[in-house]
Amino acid sequence: MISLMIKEKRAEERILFSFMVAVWFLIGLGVMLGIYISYGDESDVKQLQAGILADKIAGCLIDNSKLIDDITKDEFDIIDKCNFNKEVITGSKFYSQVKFNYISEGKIGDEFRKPIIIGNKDALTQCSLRESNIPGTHYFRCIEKKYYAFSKDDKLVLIDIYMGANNEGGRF
Amino acid sequence: MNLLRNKKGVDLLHSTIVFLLLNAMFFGIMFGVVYKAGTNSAFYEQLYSKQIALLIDNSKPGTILSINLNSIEKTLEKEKISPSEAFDIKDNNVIVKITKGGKGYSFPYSSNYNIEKSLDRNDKGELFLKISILKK
Repeated sequence: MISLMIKEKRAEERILFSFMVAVWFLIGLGVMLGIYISYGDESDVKQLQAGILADKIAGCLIDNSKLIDDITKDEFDIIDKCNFNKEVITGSKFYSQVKFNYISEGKIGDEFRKPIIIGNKDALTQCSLRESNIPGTHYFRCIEKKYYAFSKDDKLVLIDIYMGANNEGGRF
Repeated sequence: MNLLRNKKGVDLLHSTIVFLLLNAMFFGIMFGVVYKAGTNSAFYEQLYSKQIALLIDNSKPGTILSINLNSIEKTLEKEKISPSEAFDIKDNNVIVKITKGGKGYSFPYSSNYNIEKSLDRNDKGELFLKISILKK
């Protein structure tokens, strides 16, 4: 049947035309794929942002190597003190946990004050999944940073900041 | 003209025109896609948006950020977008849009500051975006 069709000139043209469209499609697909691979990757700055925010928190809690006075107060508001936007920092994209412990004889001692926890607690699960190499690109990225400062009564305090970020930009 | 009087000739002309049109369309679309990718506009939108948001989060009130716009100035001129229009900082989002008709790239920051932006050129004629970070 095909051999009969090919003998006819118009049928031959039709088959050639379909081949040409298929070749165009393949070339187009190849170019698009190349562009997507080269330019499509999002740069992941979640960990960078988590680090920046941890430094920012430490920066507003410590003044001249000393913990700020307000920190021992029960009504201490870290969001206000560190100039965070309440909606954003307590929303689904961030998590921060700040622990305070005395350091005595080089060891972690008693709690200086109760921990401050704000944001999305899913970060803890998602970051442990990431550490276990369970695949997932939209998980939080977390960072733990430790800072040291002196309390009002000149005792050394360890400030352990665990910060998670899952801030993804996009085209909306 | 003889070709048009003949039915076979008209068919041949039609298929040739369709073939040429499809060719032109295909190469036009490919050229457009490759040209757009070549200008790196999507890359720069993402780069500036994330960079500015992270810089804001890393700054204290009173800081003035100065960002060199050299790499996108020509693209902005071609697209007829003014630099002040290309950068929008509102509702805790940095939105950068350097192509006409594009959606732009948006990246949120977490700090609660008042942000003021202005444009400036240095002695060498390089364009800078100046962002002032002020306490609310």
